Amino acid sequence: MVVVKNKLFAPSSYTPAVFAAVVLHVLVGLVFWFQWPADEPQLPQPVPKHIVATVVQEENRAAAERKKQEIQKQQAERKRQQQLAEQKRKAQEQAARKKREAEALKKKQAEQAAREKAAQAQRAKEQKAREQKAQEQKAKEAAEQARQKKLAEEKAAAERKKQQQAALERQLKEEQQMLERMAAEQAEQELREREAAERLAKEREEAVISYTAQLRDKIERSWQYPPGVEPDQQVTVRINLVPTGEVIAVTVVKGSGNSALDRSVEQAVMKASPLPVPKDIKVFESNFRTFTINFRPENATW
Amino acid sequence: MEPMQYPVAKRRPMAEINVVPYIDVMLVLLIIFMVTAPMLVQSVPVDLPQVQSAPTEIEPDDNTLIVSVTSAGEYFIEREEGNTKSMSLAQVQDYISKVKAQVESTRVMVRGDEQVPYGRVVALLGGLQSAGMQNVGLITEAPDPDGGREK
Amino acid sequence: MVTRWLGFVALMVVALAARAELVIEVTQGKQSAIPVAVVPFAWAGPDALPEDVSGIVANDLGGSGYFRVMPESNMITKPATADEVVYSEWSNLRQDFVVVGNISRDGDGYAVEFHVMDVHQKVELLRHRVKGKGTQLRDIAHYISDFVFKKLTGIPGVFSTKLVYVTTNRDRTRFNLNYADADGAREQLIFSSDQPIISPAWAPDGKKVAYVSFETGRTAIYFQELATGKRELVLKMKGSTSAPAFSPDGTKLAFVHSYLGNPDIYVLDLNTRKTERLTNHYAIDTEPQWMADNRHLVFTSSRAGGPQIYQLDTSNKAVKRMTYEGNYNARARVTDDGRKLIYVHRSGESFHIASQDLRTGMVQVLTSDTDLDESPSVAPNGSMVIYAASEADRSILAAVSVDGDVKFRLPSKYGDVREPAWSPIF
Repeated sequence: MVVVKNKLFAPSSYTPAVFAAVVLHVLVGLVFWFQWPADEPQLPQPVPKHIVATVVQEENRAAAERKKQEIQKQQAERKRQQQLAEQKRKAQEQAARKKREAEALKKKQAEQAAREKAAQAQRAKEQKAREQKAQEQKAKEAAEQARQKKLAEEKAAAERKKQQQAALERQLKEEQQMLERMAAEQAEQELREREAAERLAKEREEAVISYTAQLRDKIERSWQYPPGVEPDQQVTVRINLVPTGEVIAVTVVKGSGNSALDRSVEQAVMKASPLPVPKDIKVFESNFRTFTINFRPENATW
Repeated sequence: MEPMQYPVAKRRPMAEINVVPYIDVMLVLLIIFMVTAPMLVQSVPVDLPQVQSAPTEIEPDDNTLIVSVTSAGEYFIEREEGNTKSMSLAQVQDYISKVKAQVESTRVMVRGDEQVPYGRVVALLGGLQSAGMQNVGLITEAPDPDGGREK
Repeated sequence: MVTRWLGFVALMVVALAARAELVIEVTQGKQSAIPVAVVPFAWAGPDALPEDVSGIVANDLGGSGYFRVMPESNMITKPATADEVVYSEWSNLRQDFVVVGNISRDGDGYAVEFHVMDVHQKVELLRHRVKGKGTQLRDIAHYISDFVFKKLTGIPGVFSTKLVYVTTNRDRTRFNLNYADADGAREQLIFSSDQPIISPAWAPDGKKVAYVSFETGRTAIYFQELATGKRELVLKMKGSTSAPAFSPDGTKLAFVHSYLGNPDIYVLDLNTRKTERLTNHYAIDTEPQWMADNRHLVFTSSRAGGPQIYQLDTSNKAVKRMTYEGNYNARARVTDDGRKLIYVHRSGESFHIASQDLRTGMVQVLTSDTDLDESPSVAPNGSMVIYAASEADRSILAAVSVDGDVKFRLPSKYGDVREPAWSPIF
């Protein structure tokens, strides 16, 4: 700055720069000058009369409808699949049974064949014996030879039979193994299904507990009992709900004898409608479609 | 060898303007304008319309009344018995103010048809305000997730 | 056949087990006044009615402490018949019950028809028609209040009951025994004297009152029939007698007799007119009151120093102390259901009405506005207590509900008002 100051008295060629600087400073000053008082009388802008509105959303009707249909479709699909699985299982069973039958048949046939063969051999032997007898004289010398041959044949037949028996046994063993494997698979499948069912049941149980608490809270908030009640009086009511939680009927199953208290209970339930109910329709159906509440004014003092 | 001499001082005046102070001043100006700019834009307060993605929760213990405005511009107060007859604005106002006087926690929701003239809704809101309702709810339908409105 | 039956039974059992219902226990409710709307009864006649029937009903119900009556200005519609009631409107207004009605001419009198509607269950609970002359409209209104009260709370209403109380002028030269509605309206003079009148008490049939008058210069117990005004001197003994109290069956009268300055409790058999001394103690025994069993009395005694409340078994004269809280408890009354003891209790420097739960022993002070509250008398249904309160330099009647929530003062025109006695239910 000192330097600049000195330059004020510098040769005349600095004048334009000095001039420019002065003008700029004046400009800056002017900007402040105009800005400064403008800030002072800043009146609050009058806020136009208005009403605060909050946007509340309702579920889209078309979407809700679709959702409903979707659920129905899903249910139908589930049902169909169950049927399919059932069919498959039946088919499998049938196939297994057929196979078993076929095996049995095969075995039987094999046995019969063996028996027939043996019988044939017997017959052949007899015939040969007869021929032998007829030709005894003629071919007595050949007899020894024929006997030798027959012996060999018999031996071969026995050998064949043995082989067949072994094959049959092997096949049976294989079949047995296959059945065992299938049984194991099935057991595993069942275990998985059971686990899934257990998990679902647990979830549902939790839902029941949580909704029971919510329901009790809401009804307790709306229950105003009349004077002159005893803390040990009890009113038992049965409640019918629709899946939206709307109460359609409250019936006093067992009254307290004090009609005013009974009425206060009925009113409390109606006042609390709609009640919080689980979204899961199965849980709703099995627990909340119809249920019972015992009312006891335990905190009564007057 | 004598030391090299700088070309001294013919003592001629400098031809160029020194721009450093100029930049200095400009920067100061820039900062001033930056500071004053927000002050100068003193706008009228405007509540910008917002569509909430999460719908407002209604307290279950609240006493909530729903005023419907049909496309014909008629007002109804929704009741369990069904909407038997349309009401004039004065009737709606009377109803709401009495309920509000009796039950302080009363809330009002407006359920206006898409086609209803804006003026009818604003008239209703004005009426509700003079009936003591400072905050009303506007019921909207959630946008169809699959787009399009089934007619 | 048998097997089929067995099978059926087994099936039933299985079905039942499968349908084991959810049971929820609800044990915490609210104990607050019931919201009720009393719609002004419609009247089509050209002239104004002598009484505002629905106004009296609303006032009765609101004053009982058991109801919160909605102000008329907040009503959206004013239905006159059951059909005109729009339930959702009233549920928006957070009412539990609506009372509607209409009044029409009936000969030279009036017919009042009224309905009680349950807002939440959307049903008519009760409808009734009462007829009467113009002068009876107030009685009709109280009758309606009783009807509604009984229906909605399960306990009888006391709006048709009466009060007797003593008034005196400023100079204490004139003593009046008055008779009025339970809300203080329609005051009538039944006896007047220039000597003090004290301790009025109702006979259990509600037809006569007993009181102590000094008119002969000495204390004497009189009975007076209300309908005829006929008086009877019942007891005049050497010394002073006071505080008569009828037994609930009406056969005996307990009283205090003091000779040579030692008051004790006595009982008079009203059939034989024989007296029997029940307490014999050097301390003061006074203010007897019967309990509902006709056998026990409660009374105030200073045998432990300060006044406390004791219970006396009239069959064996055994005495049991009942109050322990504070050093001044006197003038006890027992509610008809035997659950609560109401008495004057000193807390600090001022005297208030307190209630003691006879099962739990819990004491609750009911009043606080005035400094000297005296002579409580309990409504026959046990819902309210009426007492004399000192306001500024005079004594007035005030009432408080037994839970202490509702308080109001009764109008009175005349000087000091003391010793109210609440009649039984007629």
